[in-house]
Amino acid sequence: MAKYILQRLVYMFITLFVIATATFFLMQLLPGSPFNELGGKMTEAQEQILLEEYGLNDPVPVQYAKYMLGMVQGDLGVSFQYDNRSVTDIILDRIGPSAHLGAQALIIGSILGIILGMIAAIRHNTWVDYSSNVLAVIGISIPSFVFAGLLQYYFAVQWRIFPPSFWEGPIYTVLPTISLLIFPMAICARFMRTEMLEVLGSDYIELARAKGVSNSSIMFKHALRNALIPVITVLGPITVSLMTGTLVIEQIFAVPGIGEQFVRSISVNDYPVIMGTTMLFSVLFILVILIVDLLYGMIDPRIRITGGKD
Amino acid sequence: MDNGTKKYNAEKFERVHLPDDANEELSRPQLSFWKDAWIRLCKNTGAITGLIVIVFIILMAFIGPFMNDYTNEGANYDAAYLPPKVKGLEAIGFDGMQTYEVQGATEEEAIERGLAGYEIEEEYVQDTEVVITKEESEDGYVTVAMEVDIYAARGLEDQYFWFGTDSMGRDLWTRIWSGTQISLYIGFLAAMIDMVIGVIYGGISGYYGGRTDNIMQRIIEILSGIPNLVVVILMIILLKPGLIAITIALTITGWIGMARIVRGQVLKLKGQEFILAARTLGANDKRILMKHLIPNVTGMIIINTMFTIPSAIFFEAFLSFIGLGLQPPIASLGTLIDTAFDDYRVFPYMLLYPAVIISLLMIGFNILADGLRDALDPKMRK
Amino acid sequence: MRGNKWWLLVLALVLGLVLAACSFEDSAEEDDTDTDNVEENETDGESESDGEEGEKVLRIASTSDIPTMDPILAEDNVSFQYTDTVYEGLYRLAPEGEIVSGIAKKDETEISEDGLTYTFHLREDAQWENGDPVTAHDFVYGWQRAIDPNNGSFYANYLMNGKVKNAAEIYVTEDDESDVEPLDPSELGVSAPDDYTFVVELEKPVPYFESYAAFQTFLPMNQEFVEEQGDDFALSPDSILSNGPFKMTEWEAEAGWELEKNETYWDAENVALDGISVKVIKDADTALSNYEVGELDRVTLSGAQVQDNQTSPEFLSLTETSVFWLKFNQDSETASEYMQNLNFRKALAKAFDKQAYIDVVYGNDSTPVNFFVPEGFVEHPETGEDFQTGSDVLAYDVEAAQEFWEAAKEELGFDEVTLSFLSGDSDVAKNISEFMKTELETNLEGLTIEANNVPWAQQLEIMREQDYELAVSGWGPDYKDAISFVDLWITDGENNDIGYSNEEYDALVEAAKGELATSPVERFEAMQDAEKIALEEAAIGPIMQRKTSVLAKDYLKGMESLNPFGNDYSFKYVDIVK
Repeated sequence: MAKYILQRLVYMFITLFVIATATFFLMQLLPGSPFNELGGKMTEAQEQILLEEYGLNDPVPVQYAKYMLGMVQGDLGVSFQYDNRSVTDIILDRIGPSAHLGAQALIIGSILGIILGMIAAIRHNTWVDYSSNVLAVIGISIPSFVFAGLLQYYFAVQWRIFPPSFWEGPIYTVLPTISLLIFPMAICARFMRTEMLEVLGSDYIELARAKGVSNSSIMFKHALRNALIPVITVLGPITVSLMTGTLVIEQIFAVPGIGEQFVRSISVNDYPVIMGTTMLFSVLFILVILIVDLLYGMIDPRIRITGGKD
Repeated sequence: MDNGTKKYNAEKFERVHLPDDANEELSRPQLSFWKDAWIRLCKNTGAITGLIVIVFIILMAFIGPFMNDYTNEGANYDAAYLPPKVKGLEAIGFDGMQTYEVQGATEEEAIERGLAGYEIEEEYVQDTEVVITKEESEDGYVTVAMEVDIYAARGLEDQYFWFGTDSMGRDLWTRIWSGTQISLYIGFLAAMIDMVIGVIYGGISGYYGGRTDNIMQRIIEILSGIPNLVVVILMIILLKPGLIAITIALTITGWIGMARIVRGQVLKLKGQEFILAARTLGANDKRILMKHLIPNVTGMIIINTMFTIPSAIFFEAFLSFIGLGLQPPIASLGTLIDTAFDDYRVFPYMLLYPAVIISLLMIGFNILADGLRDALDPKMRK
Repeated sequence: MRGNKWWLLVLALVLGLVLAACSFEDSAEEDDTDTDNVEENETDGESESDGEEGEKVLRIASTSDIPTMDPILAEDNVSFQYTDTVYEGLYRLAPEGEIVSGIAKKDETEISEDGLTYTFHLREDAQWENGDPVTAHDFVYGWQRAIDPNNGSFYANYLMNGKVKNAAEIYVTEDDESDVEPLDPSELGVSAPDDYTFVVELEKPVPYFESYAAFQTFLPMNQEFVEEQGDDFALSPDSILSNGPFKMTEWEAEAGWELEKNETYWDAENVALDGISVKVIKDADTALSNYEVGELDRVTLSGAQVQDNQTSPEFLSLTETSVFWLKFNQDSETASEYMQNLNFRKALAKAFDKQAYIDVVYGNDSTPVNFFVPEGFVEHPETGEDFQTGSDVLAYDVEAAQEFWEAAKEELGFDEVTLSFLSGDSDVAKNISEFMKTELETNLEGLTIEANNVPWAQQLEIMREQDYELAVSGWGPDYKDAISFVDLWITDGENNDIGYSNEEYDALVEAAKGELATSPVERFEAMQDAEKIALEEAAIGPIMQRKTSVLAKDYLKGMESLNPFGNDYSFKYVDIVK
């Protein structure tokens, strides 16, 4: 196992290297220069000075080599849009609220979703099943900006229960968390229900029943565990996207998170921030996938990902 | 032990005698897999309801735009922001009345401000009602709800916009149904990409495992790592913004979720006995994958597709939102919801209809999908 | 064995929880670097909401974080706004755009007869937050620091190049073809004969130099402090040394910042507010929600919000000095022969309803205009009349437009023509292209408009390369002088991306920039004539002068107008009267 993990970590560096390289060169193709916020007031000569200052006049391969060298030493460069603020600082400043909200939404959402899915499976084809289905479906068919906007309007403006926005304490996290948890909840509920039905119809559950194992024991010891594989598979990447922030939710609730920062850095060509954030996302993503793969084996000992098909 | 054996002693059992050839007889007509699935689907009322809803919406998407004389493009600034009005349905709310909430120091002043602000003659005001009195409000202003016959005020008494109009005075009925076409296309496209690329990729990766899996998973990691938005923007520059660009954008990464789920399921299933049995019986890899593994993952595939479709529809809306999607005046349900949301406090009808259609569509799909899952599940075939 | 693995799963979940908790603790810790801060904040919050203690704290929102608090790097409204609030230069902007004394006493300023030397006399009671006096040397350092090419200030070069002595020779790129060695920033034409006298030497008379004295790029800097901070200068409240009406006490990236009245400011007794609390809110609906629940004293409305709130008693519309117009690119490869035809341009300029444009695109009460130098911006130096006397050569008139169109068709010999319309990717930009397409196609027979909506960055690049045919854009001035606008269309001008060229126009503008600098009336009239020529020639098709719509509580005073350039508001003069 240790060898396997080590091997995966080595692959991780190769993968990261490819991602960094691809992103670096693709990014250079984006239209416009990083210094065009002035709406055309800047002259060619002034732009040259700025390009020179930030080392953007070097040939792209040279820039690339410089960047990679810096990155290996842990230096992600400085942002163009926030003059001289280091990318590491920007990311560290912004990741906190995003990760906090994401974790809260993920934990509450997935637990609610798993419970909802289990109940729906147990009460298969009854009104409980149908209403949990409709709830989950409405949750995903209403775009998050509409849902978040309505939450804000009713809970904050009309009824004054929660503050409308900002990031100043636990109460401020309620509305954004609710808007964020809908998706993981819906997805957990749907996958849980489907897999649960499959598991409940399988031979070993019949056997357990025949042996007289109590219902709750069947549910939690046998069925839940075996039904978790797809849930964990989908939750992995969702974890990353939740923890790294969502543009819409962060904008609507004025949360100083990283999701918004990332989209903007792309639209204003802030190369160092694009690179830094991409690398962060990729590292998280790869680690999560590794954890998911390891969890497969733990949940179901029959699964071996280390070996081939034999 | 003793008790058990005593309970079930031999005298209590009676041997059932069957004629010798009965073993060969088929208890019910032999059906192909699909025919059988279809029969079972028809028995599921929920699934049939879902199917009917979907078929209805698809039909409307193609017939709807031709049901009145308005077009998708023709802007008419005099007819901007008209609420729904349907001949014969005035009594149940489709009466073309617009309610404005106006504020002022007194009721009269509020109404006056409202008339001036919205440029309406007083004679068209049907009804006024104080919603928030001076005492109740925090800022000391009276809020009055003013109901206006806006069609008459604009001199458009003979017009009937069934779902109202948007900021440019275009008929929303036409726009919503044309938008449904686009959204359906995108939804189906995403589903197809998932089914074809995602399932095959995931199936191969999970089934072969080892080095194949390793390489294929690293490719997935790389594709997920490169920022989607950068790729999409580059594509828009290469191609013109529009349906083709969206299609390709979806194709690049749309299938990754599905591939991972199928791989996870295949990893789980491939060690199980029935696969071993199939292999022992000499089935080749392709047969095991296509005939044994994939059918057992059907449930998951269907459920995941149900998430792909709305995600794709809103991904398109997101692209349009950042300017990389459809070019106006073409709209989709996603972009209609997006623009309507800016005005929802005053013109809620603009948001209501596209949102209801998209929700109905999704609920229909999901109920049908549940039915399909039950119908296609080989284990449920009795 | 099995139990063991279950335990691992639980561990993974718990780890997730702990991670989440950690990030919460982290951010909480960051919130209160000194431990009492939390309590302080809470009491602050209370006093703000009930306002009983009489603390006058202005609560507003900003659509973005402050890109930079280093005045020489400021390039946007937010940076201008808050550098102005924290610092004070020679002069400052008062409400209605009036330029008044700052550190320099305005009525004592001496201008040499040739208009080339300005001598400012500084007040002696001004000091920095740390107690150092604000001296002429601080201005010399500030100006030299701005022009130093290593500091990469865009505005320093934009405003000083060719105007302040030696600025052009100092701000030189390495890539420049000339082999002239750049001069040292210390050669800049500024000096301090004594601690409280600051002298600026110019290359040529700059009639609007007063505006410079109030502009953020030309603020004084405390050399010792700046050098001590090094690269960290202006990155956090601790690395900003204020000499203005307010000082920054807190600044959390992308969340907001707090300003407090600066008691050491020389004119502190005339600063009414005790503090300013700014929150970053990017979503317009969120800002409005916060205003509605009483978290903000003032909010800027956007898009549909304007219509929804126009009848509110708290609604205000403020006139900006930004004018928008339709550009006809005469240099494009594809349509230059059409665009160079006067009748063709006139037809396009007169064929769309400007009022409808405002209604559809902005929904507010911006003013439709037929000129390009804004109204209410500059006045005649003697009579005090507004620069803008109005014009109707390019007014909306479908019939006239169609006549010009027919004439153009005959002259150019075409029946049908397709033009592309370049626009951005925001909702507003899309509405613009949809509107223009509809209007122009309806009113001009045989014309097809192809909308080309591209991301903002790409749009700028296309504009600069003059690779478009039609586009809408606007201009806002950086100093209070009509030259800021009329200079746009001189032949091969830096910002002339429409390929317009007219000798007479060029002559008038050059005169206004050169020999007429010392004769204000003739200069003023030359610029008025220049504008008339450009309008008669339909160089551009004017559309509107923009207004900003806001909701503001009635107890807020001193924010009823926008400054014509630089910072939008002067918080020094803002008051809360409950």
